[in-house]
Amino acid sequence: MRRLLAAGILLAIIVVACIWGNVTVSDVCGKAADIAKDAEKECVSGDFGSAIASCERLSEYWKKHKRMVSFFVNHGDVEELSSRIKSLYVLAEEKDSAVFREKIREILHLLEKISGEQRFSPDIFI
Amino acid sequence: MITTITRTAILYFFVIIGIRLMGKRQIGDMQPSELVITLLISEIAAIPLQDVDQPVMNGIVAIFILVILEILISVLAMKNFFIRKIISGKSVVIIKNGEIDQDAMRKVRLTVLDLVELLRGQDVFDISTVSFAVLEVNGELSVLLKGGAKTVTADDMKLETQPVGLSMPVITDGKVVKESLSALKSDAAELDRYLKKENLQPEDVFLMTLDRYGNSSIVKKKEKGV
Repeated sequence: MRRLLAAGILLAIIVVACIWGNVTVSDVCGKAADIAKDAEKECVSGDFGSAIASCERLSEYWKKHKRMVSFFVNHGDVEELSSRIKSLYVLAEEKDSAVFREKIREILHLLEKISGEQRFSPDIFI
Repeated sequence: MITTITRTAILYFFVIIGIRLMGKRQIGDMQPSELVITLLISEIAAIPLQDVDQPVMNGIVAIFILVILEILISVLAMKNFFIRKIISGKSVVIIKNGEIDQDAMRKVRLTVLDLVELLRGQDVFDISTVSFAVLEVNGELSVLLKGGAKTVTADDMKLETQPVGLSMPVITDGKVVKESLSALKSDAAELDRYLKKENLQPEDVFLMTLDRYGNSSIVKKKEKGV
């Protein structure tokens, strides 16, 4: 019975950790995606000053939450996202709107992938 | 390098917790499900060690989920015969009243050579002396010999025997094992009396065992360099 109790406690800890991980990753990725979308809008409207500011914001935000996300997500994906965010900042400074938007989409796609890996999906049986 | 050391230490710690939670059993005594879980745990623990991109958390969660499932299934198997039969299988009688059940052997895919080998493992070299042999779920063979082939016991001979208690190590490598002394309801003074009889100090003793009836045995330490 003691073993069963230990298993129950362990299961509760795992469930809490998984929910917490899911919420944290979804939250961080969601906010990062919002900032990236803002940067995209600003770039489309030709406001490269604001786009650069948004890129800085995105870079800061990701830097701050990267470690927490790495706790649950493949480190390779996290590092790839970090390097893409860095390159995004350079593109905004160069004022290359087309490439900038393409890079933003890649970042959004990667954020969606990272966030999606934490969610339950019937795809896991495929 | 520090990352590898840290990850290895963390996983080692969690694997030990997981295995301890599953209970004490040696590989040979494991039920099929326990063996599968143990193999899976070692495989899963290796993944975050080999691939540094994998979060350690993934490995820990997977290990603990396996341990939880194993505990749940073992508890269910303990309560329910049907579940126990499905998870662990059931024992098969291979030799019944001295006759080999060939159908049972075919069912468990046991060859005659396997049977002879398993019997030899039980110190049985003549199959005609076996009354019953049961193939247990962990693959071991339990053997009941025919009356005439059994070892004669003191009870058979109607002999009086000395009471025998569980012999416990009270000194190991010169150090007194206090837990053993308290389990035997003995103390350091009594231990001293035993040692004085042999003119020894605890430091001179490699191993001393004692039972609750006062039967003791002492192995002296060898001098260094001898």
